[in-house]
Parts: sequence; C-alpha cells; structure tokens
Amino acid sequence: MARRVRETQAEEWQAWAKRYDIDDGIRTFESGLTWKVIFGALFIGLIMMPGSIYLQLISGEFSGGAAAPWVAVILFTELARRSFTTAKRQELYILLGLAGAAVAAGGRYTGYIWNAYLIQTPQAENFEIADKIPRWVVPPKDSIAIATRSLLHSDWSLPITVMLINLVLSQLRGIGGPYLMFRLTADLERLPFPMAPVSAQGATALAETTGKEETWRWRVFSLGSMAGLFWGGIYIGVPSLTGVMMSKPIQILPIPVIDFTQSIEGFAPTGIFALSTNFAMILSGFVMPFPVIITQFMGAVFTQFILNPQILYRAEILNLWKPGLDMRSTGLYNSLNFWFSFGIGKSFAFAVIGLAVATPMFVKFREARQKEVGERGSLQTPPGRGDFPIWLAIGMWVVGMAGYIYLIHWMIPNFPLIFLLGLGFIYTPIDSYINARAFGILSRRLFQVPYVRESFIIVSRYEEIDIWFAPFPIEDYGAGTQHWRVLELTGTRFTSDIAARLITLPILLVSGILVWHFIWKLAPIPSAQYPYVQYFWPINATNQCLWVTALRDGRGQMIQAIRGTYVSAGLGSSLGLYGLMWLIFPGKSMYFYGLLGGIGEDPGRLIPLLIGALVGRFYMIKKFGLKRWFMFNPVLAAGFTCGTGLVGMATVAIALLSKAVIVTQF
Amino acid sequence: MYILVAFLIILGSAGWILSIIVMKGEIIYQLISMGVIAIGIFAAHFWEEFFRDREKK
Repeated sequence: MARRVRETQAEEWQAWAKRYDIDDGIRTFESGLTWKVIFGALFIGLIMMPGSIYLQLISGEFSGGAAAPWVAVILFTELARRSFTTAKRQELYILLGLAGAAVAAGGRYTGYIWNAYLIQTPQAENFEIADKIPRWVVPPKDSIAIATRSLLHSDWSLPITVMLINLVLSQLRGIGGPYLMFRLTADLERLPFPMAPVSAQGATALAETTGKEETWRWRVFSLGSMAGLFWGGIYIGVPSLTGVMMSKPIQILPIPVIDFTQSIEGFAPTGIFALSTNFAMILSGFVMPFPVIITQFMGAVFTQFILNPQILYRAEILNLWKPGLDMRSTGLYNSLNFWFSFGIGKSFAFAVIGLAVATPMFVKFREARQKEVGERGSLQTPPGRGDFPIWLAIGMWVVGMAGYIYLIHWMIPNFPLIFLLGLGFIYTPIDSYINARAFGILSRRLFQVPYVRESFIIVSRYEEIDIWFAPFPIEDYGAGTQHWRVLELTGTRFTSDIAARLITLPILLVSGILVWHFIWKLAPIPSAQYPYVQYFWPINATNQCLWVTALRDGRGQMIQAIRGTYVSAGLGSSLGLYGLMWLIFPGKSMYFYGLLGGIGEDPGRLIPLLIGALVGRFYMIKKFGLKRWFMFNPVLAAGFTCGTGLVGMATVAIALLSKAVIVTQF
Repeated sequence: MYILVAFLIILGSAGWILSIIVMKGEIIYQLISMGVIAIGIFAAHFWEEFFRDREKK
C-alpha cells in the first residue's frame, strides 16, 4: 500500500512564512539612514526621554515606552508633509527603532540613582552592607557627588567608565548575537515570525502618507488608529484622567483581569480562570497563526479544568492551594508545587526539538550555500540586504562576550571564572537560540529560567556582597532576532540600521546623563515629588538587603521549588507529544507549538486572542479573502497600537501638568 | 527508516508513560525514555531532510 506523501515541517513553515511576507518577498533594500533620521533621534533624545523617565519615577509605569516611538514617527511624517518632502519606510522604521532605544537609554542611569539611594538607607546600615558596596557601583556614601545630588562629578568617573566599556562590548554582542540567530532561524529554517509584519506594515503605511498617492494601507491604518483611540480612551484614558481628579480612579473595565478563580474552585480546585480585559489582544489574534491560538487555548483549558484539579490536585502534588485563593495566589502556589519545574522541562524540550530540526540542515551546510535565496535550508542572502559574513558575526559576539566576562572578572576577581564562562558561552547561546525560535513561531519568549543568577551564586558558595552588584553574562537575543526580520520586511539595509544605532548612541548617552542629573537636582529621589519611588523604593531596599545577606544560606524558596522529577516530566511529556504528533499529524507542527505554549497557561488570558482568531478565520477571511486579509491585519494592528499610544501619551501629559501645579493656600 | 523512526517514538512515549504510572516518575526511567524519544525525533528530521524524497520516488 502506498503511503500518502507527508507534508514536512519545512514545507509547513515555508507556507506560513510566505503569508507573513509582505510584498510577496520581492523587495529592494535601501538605506534608512539620513540626516533627517539623525535629527529625529536628537529630538527624541532631548524631548521624549525626560518624559518617560519622569513618568517612571512618578507612576512606575513605562507606558511612555510603547507609545513614544509611534508619536515620534507621526510627528516626523507630519513635518515631512508640511515641508513638501517624503519619508521612506526605511527611514521611518529606523526612527521607530531609535525612538525605542532612546526611551530605553533613559533607564541606563536609573541604577546609579538607585545605588546612591541604597548606600544611604538605614537598611543598608543595619544589614552592614553600606560600606561594602563596591566603588565601581557608586561613590562612597560621604561623597560630595551624593550630597549635592550631582551625576556630573568626578566621583562618578569609575562607575561611568565601567558602563562605557560595557556599552562598547554590548554593541559587539548585540549586533553579532541576534544577527547570527536571525540567519539560523529566518534564513536557514524560514520560521514565519508572525508579529514582525506589524511593525513593518505600520512604518510602510505612515511612509505612504508623505507620498502623493495614498493606498489602502493608509485607510486601514487610520481605521486601526481610530479603534485604538477609542479603546485607549476606555482602557487608559478614563482611569488616568479620573485618577488625577479623584482619590480612586474610575475603571470602566477592571484592569487587568476579571478573576473567576474562586467561582470555579467548586468543580475545578487549583484551576485558574481570570478573563483578561485587555481586548487589544484581539488584534494580535487576527495576526497570529490560527492553529497556534486554537491549540494554545485547548492546552490551557485542559490544564486548568482537568490536569490541575482532577490529576495533580488529587495526587496531592498541588498541595499548597487552599479554597478561597485568588488567581495570583493560586498561580504562585501551583507554580511552586509543580508548574515552575514542569515549565523548565517544557522549555528544554523546545531546545531539543529546535536542535533536531536544525541539525540536518547544518549537516547539509555545503548544500545550503548552493541553494537559492529564500529557500528553506539556504544561507544565501538577498542582494543589497547589507549582510555581513557569519564568521564576522560570531567573531564580534565572541570578542564582546570574552571582554564582558573579563570585565566582570575584574569586578569580582574571587568569583569562579568557570561559572562566568559557562553562563556566557553555553547558557546564553542556548537560551537565545530557544527564544529566537520561540519568537519565530509564537512571537513570544518561551524559555526563562528564573533565579539563574541566584542559583549560580549559591552553588559557587561565594560570600562577598560585591557579586550582587556585578552584571552577569546572562543574555537573551531572542527578541532581538525579530528586529532583523522587520528590517528585511521593510527593505531596510542592515548596515544602515547598525550605523544609525552607532551614530545616535553618543547623543543618547549624553542626553541621558544630563536629563538624570537635572531630574535628580530638582528634588531628592525618592521624595514626595516622585510618589511611586517614594512608595516602593524603601521596601525594595529592604528586599535587596535581604537577598544580599540571606541567600548565602541557600534557603531561597524558588531554588527549592525546582524538582528534578517534574522537570523530567515536562521534558518527557513535551518530547513524547511532539514525536506522536509528528507521526499522526504530518506537517501540522503549529498544533504542537500551540499546545506546548498553552499547557500551564490561564485560558482566560487567551480569550481575547481566541476571539480575534475566530473572527479573523470565520468572518474576515470569508469577507476579504485570505491574501487580502493577511495584507490588512498587520496594518490594522499597527494602527491600533499607534492610536492607543497616542491616548496614553496625551493622558500622561495631562497628568504630568496637573502634578506640576502646586496648590497654595492664598 | 520511517518505520524505525515511528518505532522509536512510540517505544519512548510508551516507556515514559510507564515510568510515570508504574515507576512513580522515577527520574532514571524518565531519562531513558526521553533519550529514546529524542533519538526518534532527531531521526525523524534526518529522514525528512535526507530520505523522504527518495522514498517518495
């Protein structure tokens, strides 16, 4: 009997990758680096960054982070239109990236202010660590730099020099590492990266507004923006604005969830069901692959309604749970009892499967070099994309990582070097490869072992407190991999993106330190001017002191929660499931990845995604056709993000103004 | 080769289920079964890349 011809995983992914490839994969690459972009970055560095830093200190929210890049790009396109000039999508995407980098760059100096605070706290004094905090972290507590709240003082030269050396090394790692992962997952494996077109299509739609002809993209983007404005008004605007006027803000929808965990405990003890009210996720449901969402939801329902209550609870594996607990406590106890360990095993299964898929392709490496561009298993690069040799990427990463480890070794000379080498050269590549694949298929991080750093410190039996202030060579390039895919989709030459980042880096460094210096001079941090940090920093200082001094005994609760049997169970069940599904459903690996992602999850969190997937699959595709819908939905999602971001920025501005007004008696 | 791959995966999966039910999750039995499944999965992808087209012809 002739066996039917199986569809391979390769063919399946190739088909999905094609769906997400805008312009049918045919594009020319152009540089996105122009003077206009550099001026745009300057604007962001000097105007947007202070806003986001200030917002963080006041509300602890990094909400400016998501919105600022879109606001910057919209302002940029409006300036272009008023100047009767055009903006290329390559320019806009680079600006979008630089805006994100600018907002993040503000966070680079937060640690200095925090450490300057920590060293002066009574907690640091009581735990006898104040005089042991190393000089490369913060000046001594009697330093004039701390007394006068000045970052522009020579006492800061050592911490800032260490940061600058690390920054140079991190650029080498940050370019080489993610680029290498991109070549392996996007070029060689042809993974689809389903969320990459959202950023790409947003920049494309906005670029079209500056041209003479507007296409469907602008109309769809505007539609998405209006929906985003409406949703942002309900979800962000109303609570933020009423929070300014009233002691308790009004929430039209409870944020972030409506918790039904206590309602289901009668028939599903230890089960979690908390409906996410962030219905913006419906847009992600439109974009993500339908089989992934459906199976993810099924996996989550199975976990919370069958596996947890009927098997694990009855077997007394989930033994910390008690009736009446809410979603957070149930989740924490279930995690400590079982899911934390199981999740580690599940993540390792993802790595093993990734290696199994990639190894035959490495074996056929010579053949890969002869394959056509865009073919799975090919390492050929499209002309003009701005690629550089893989050996150079590896070399950059190795030099960056070796230098980084040397720097850490200089900081903590008594800590065993072998641990640092293991983390840098073994853990980081494995973690990054797993997460690069996870982003390529699921658009989210899958592998995250918490407390890795703490575990290594305990295992090393190192007792000096300087270890707690030193960086560790634990990095994850998974999310960074998607950035290269977006560059490819927007037709942006890779080298122009690298050049833009390197050129604007000094601008952002200088503006960051000036802004922090200014804000610190305004008022002590923490103080009544900055309510969020005033509320949280004292308790955070106590926590840090406890960690620094208590973990030496090796009694960390999370460390004790890792159980080998359950880690093996996670690994074994995931591998078995993958193998059996490979046999039974050939060419349907998306089902497996969805199921794997859903096991252990809360189904309530996935409901908005499910709604989006169902509406897309059974209404939108019928109405617009598959090809048109896959063209529309990333643009719609980008517009929606932009609309929500605009509401966020506007409400933050109003809230900031109201906080800046000092009410006097007369 | 496809038959061998299928055999390894089914054997490993059955072994793992038995290690959970009969051996109460004893880690060594789990590891042995996982090893068999992993070999099966590696073999499956090697089969897809190298032998599938030949068998199809």
